[in-house]
Amino acid sequence: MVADDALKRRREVKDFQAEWRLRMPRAVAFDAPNSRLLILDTQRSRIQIYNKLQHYVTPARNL
Amino acid sequence: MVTRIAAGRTYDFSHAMGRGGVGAGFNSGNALAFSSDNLVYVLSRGGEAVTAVPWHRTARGARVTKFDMGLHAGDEEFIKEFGETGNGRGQLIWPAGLAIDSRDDIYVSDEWMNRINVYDTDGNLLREWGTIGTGDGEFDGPSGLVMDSNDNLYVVDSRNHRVQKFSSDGRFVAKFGSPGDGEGQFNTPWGITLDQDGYLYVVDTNNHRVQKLTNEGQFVAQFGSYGDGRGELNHPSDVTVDPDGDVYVCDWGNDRVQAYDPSGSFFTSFVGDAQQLTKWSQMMH
Repeated sequence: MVADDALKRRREVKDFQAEWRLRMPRAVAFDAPNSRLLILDTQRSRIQIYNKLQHYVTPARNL
Repeated sequence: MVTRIAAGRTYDFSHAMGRGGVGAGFNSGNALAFSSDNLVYVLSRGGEAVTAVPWHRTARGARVTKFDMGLHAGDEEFIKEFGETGNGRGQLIWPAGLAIDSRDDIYVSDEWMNRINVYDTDGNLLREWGTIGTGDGEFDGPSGLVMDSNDNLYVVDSRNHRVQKFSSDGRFVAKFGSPGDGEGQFNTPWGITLDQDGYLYVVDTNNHRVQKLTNEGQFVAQFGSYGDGRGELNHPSDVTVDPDGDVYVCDWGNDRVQAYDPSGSFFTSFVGDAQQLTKWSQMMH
């Protein structure tokens, strides 16, 4: 788990939306076998992963 | 789950992984690549710990991190890291690009040292080549790397505003590009990739565009222009192409990734959706 001090400081944060976002991403790659996009989120020291869906169907609710 | 539907394509945000720091983490991640067994290698550029003293006494964190991503959040497993900061054999100062050949040997470019280091999958140095200069096979700031299906290595020679092609053992094969903003010209290019049809995509960073070229450097098309609007770019850094031909460009200065269809039409942006701390962040002491 995250250290107690870090958890306490995070409780003081009112809005995490900025943390969700990419910050100066430097690299990007596509994992073709798993159909997913990897974004190297450089300034936040993580990789954000998006699945590209090949068979997504939008329900036609007006029928 | 965050779902993005654009131009007939659907993307689901899956999860984020990684953390800052050594070991199971990154330090100014600069490049990533897959091996044949779909393990992931991330190149960390590291940082300067103290100013006003020589780099070799303070810089730290330059390395390659190898891990298994798995498929779902929490599956990721750290395997090992190799390379370290320094100017000795196998060491790195300003690592910039990463590529992996058919034998899973790992190629790393170093902007400061003006050389290419090649490691095996255990991180042992196999060979290195390169020196500063403008001649054939010489570099001024080598950055992005990509390997073609014949194990030829394309190196973006950033401050020489060109791309050079080498055999896997470092023999110079060809070059293309010159300074400028015309077709087939570059201004401090950085990233590079190949699509399934063998076309090259070069990130022309200071011209704020991506150029699509034949593997001999003939201009085919370009994507993007300077700005922060739809389809515009601010100092783009990297590019990849999926099997459908869709092109994803790291729009470094605008904190996003821009997506273009095979004809070059912009269709969506990715700005980040990581609402949960990563597994490795939750394990931080």
